[in-house]
Amino acid sequence: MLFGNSCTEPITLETDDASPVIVIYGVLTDDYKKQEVKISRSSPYFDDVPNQGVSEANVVVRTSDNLFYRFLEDDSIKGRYFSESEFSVRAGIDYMLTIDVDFDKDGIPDKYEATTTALPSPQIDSLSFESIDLFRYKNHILYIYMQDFPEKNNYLFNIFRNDSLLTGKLTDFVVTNDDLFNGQYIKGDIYLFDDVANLSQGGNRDEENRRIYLRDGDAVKVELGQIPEGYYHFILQCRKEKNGENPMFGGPSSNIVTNISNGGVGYFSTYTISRNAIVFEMRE
Amino acid sequence: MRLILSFFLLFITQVSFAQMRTIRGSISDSDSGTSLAGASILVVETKDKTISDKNGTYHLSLPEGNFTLRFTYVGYENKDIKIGRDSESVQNIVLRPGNLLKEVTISALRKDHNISNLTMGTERLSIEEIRLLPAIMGEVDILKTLQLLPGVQSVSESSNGFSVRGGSPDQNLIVLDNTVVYNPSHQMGFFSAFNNDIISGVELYKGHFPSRQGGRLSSLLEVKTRDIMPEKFNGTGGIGLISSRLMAEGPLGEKVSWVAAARRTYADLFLFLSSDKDLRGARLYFYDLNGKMTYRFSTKDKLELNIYNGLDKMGVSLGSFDYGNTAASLTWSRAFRDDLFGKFSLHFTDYHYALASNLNEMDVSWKSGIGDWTFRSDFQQEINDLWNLSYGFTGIFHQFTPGEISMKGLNLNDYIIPGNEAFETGVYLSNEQKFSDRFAVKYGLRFSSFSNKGSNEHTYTALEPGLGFVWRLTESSSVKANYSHNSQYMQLANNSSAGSPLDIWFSASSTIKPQEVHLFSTGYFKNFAENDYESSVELYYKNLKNVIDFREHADLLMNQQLENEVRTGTGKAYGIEMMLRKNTGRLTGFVNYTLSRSERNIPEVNNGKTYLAPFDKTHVVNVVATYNFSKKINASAIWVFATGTPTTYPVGRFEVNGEYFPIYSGRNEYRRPNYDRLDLSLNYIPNPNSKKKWKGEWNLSLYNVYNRKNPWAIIYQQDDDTGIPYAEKLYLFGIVPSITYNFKF
Repeated sequence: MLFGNSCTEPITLETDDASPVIVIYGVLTDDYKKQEVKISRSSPYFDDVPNQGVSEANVVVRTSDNLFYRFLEDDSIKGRYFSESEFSVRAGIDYMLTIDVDFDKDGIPDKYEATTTALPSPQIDSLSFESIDLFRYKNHILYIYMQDFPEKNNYLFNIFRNDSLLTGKLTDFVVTNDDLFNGQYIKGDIYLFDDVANLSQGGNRDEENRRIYLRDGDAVKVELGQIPEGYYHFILQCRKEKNGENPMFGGPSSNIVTNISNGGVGYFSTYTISRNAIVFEMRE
Repeated sequence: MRLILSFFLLFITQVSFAQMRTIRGSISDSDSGTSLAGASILVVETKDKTISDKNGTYHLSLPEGNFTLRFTYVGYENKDIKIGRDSESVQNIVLRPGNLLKEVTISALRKDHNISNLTMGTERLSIEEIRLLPAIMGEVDILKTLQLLPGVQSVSESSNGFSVRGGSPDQNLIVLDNTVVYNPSHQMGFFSAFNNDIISGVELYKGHFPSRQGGRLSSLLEVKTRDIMPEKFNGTGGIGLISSRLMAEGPLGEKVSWVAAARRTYADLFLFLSSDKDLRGARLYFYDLNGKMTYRFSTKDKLELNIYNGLDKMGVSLGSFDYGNTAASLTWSRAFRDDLFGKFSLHFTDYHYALASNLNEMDVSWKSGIGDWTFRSDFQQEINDLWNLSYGFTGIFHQFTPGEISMKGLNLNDYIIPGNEAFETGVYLSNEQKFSDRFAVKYGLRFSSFSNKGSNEHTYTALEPGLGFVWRLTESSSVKANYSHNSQYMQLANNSSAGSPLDIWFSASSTIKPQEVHLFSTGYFKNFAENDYESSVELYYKNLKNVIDFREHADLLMNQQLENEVRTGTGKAYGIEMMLRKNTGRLTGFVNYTLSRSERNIPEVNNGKTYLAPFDKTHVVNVVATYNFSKKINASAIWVFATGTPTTYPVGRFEVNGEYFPIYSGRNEYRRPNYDRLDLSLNYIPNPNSKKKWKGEWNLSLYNVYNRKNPWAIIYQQDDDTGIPYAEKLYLFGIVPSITYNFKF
């Protein structure tokens, strides 16, 4: 009833603009590749131009076993920094990000730091699908089978369909902690696909951009990573705060907690990946 | 010396009373059961007179002999009874409304109650007043009507949650016939748990509780059900667009009366018409049931059994969400002597909710709740003007069940957050002393204790004094001042500002100290035109200690370490409340204005900077008017205005992977847009003079007449093409018409 009656309408909010702060976001994985860190500048919330990248930063990552990786800005995209050489993170190693940049243009370099620890990830034993009817529409639940580690853990699942990442945005990330199944072997539902037949039944093909349909023979891949608790909460907080307040089930609006020092925002994290895949077979 | 003198006076008074006989009882409205305060009782033979008090009770002393007592009340038929030597000393009187019924406002108040009542910050509403007001979706709501009173703020559009003088909703103690109701709402707060048909009236104390109640900081709301001995079987009911209700009552012999009421919504009944089998199986309704049986087994004794059960059910085949209250009590009332009245009662209350999902037969369920057993003994001893004592004892056994998740369908272990138990007691003694017609004081002391068992065990005790006086300047004006100190030993872990039913109550412990308030208030009260008009100006100041908030991004549900999410600090609230009320004539109603502020300072919230409490509203204006055009037609209007509630807006943004996320201002540094709304209703009684047993009337209501889009929430979206964020207001209602057919038989 609540949402059946409700409507929305644009509103202009008169707010003061906060001074810009540095935005740092980097997530390193154990894929052997050139790792990436993005640096940008915050802007007034309702500014009508995209946020700008930050150039001329000195970006390095050091490890607890004394390795050192320098990151260089991409020539074509301002504010994207890639490691000079390819490397992969290793479980149990601490990674320390240091960025020196004259952010406020006062002629003195500003230093921003963040530290994270790469954690091991459990193996995905297998994946399966089960179909279910939801309000006349057939859907397919993707299940994962895995043994949870005995201590408190937080997990991130990347879902691919035919090698295309379906969960690339922070608010699409599939994450969970293990509060409800700590140390147990689980069959967990991690994603809900629409059946391709719903396209014709639903009658709104524009939805294909927003909902994920599954066709017979589609290859579905899952990447599982154990993520630090701080990064887990960062993802949840981004998801909660992106669309503003939820009077019914949300608490007061609050700033998203970061691990970037010196007034920066964003997050620096790592995870190692385990993978598994399945081909979807349509069953009548 | 004064104490000795007082005891002497007490002795003399008792001796002189021993030569008289006392007749006592209550006077109530035959239709609603509303107690009639200020009704006149005339001893025809001696011309002696008295009037009923604020509770509709009276007592008078008669010498030996035969007398006629005449009971009169404006708008009611007179009633005479004969009193002889063998007559019972308790005479409960039911008055029938006369022909003037619709031209007066029935009030449970003495006519000069506004200036003579010792307790400040007290608001009463009779069910008749409430029923005349506009309804949303056909349901006139007690709790929403309360939000029209000065100092009482709604927490959200159409929510039943309310804030009293800047307090949070969990600082309100809500009792139904003395039994606590922990979540008095249906349908996520849109409807109250109280069925109007069985309610006789409500009384709200905005901080200065009677000493018999305690355990909350901000307010006491007493909801009372009908309490009359009906002469014959009768009932009332209503048929609305989304719900219907029925109340019936009657006598069982000469000593037993019963009343039962039921209400149910029926949105789900239309779902059976759906072609979708999932929708056909969907459940979306609430119901509530009330039952009451009263056994008057002697002239001095009365036994009452009260039962309430309400439940909301929402669900489809894949999952469901249920929540509801059960409240029951057994009360024995006895007049031990003419001047000593006692009540002993046992109460049970339970609030619980349960969520369940069933995905491909993998059942998962989640339950949470709170339950209490309470024993009360309350005594009233009205000896003379100097000794009007109230004293008693309360013991409450609390059982907290924060959460239990069963995952048998997933072959996983159950996830249980350990509950705990607590025992809360209160012993109180208070007195009202009327030194003269112009000056009276009241004072009282409540000693409370709270012991929690389980983790972080601790015992707290508190002395909670209350003090107040009324100084009657003239026959029509008075000055009052009150002070009270209250403690609260349990609070709600619910971050929702709109009244989510996912309540988790948790107790004070070794790490969470009880919340405390010192409340000071003073006011000037003036009536005009022989009490037809009432006016008042009240000032209050509240000093809060150990007040609760939660850390930013608190995780309150299914949290094994809930106490880690709690942050405590201090707060203060102050304000001025002005009220003008017209009680009689064709036009009745009130206008009130509240200017107030409520703030919190909690070291670990908002970087330790003081911030506005979430329900702070600087200016609030309420206008409520009812006009009786004729016996057939009356109309009512409500207009409300309130400063927007504090909120936190984004003052910057950062981008990650193409999405923008807000960087916020300090906590509650901004305000939502101001709120205003006009509601209208029209009551049409086709045959007001009908002698038929069945009498019906129609209520037409328009909620939000000028279609104001008051924001319920401010949300942020990103433009599909540019990705640039913009703000939207989410509003719940435009104009909402409704029609209800009410009847009685």
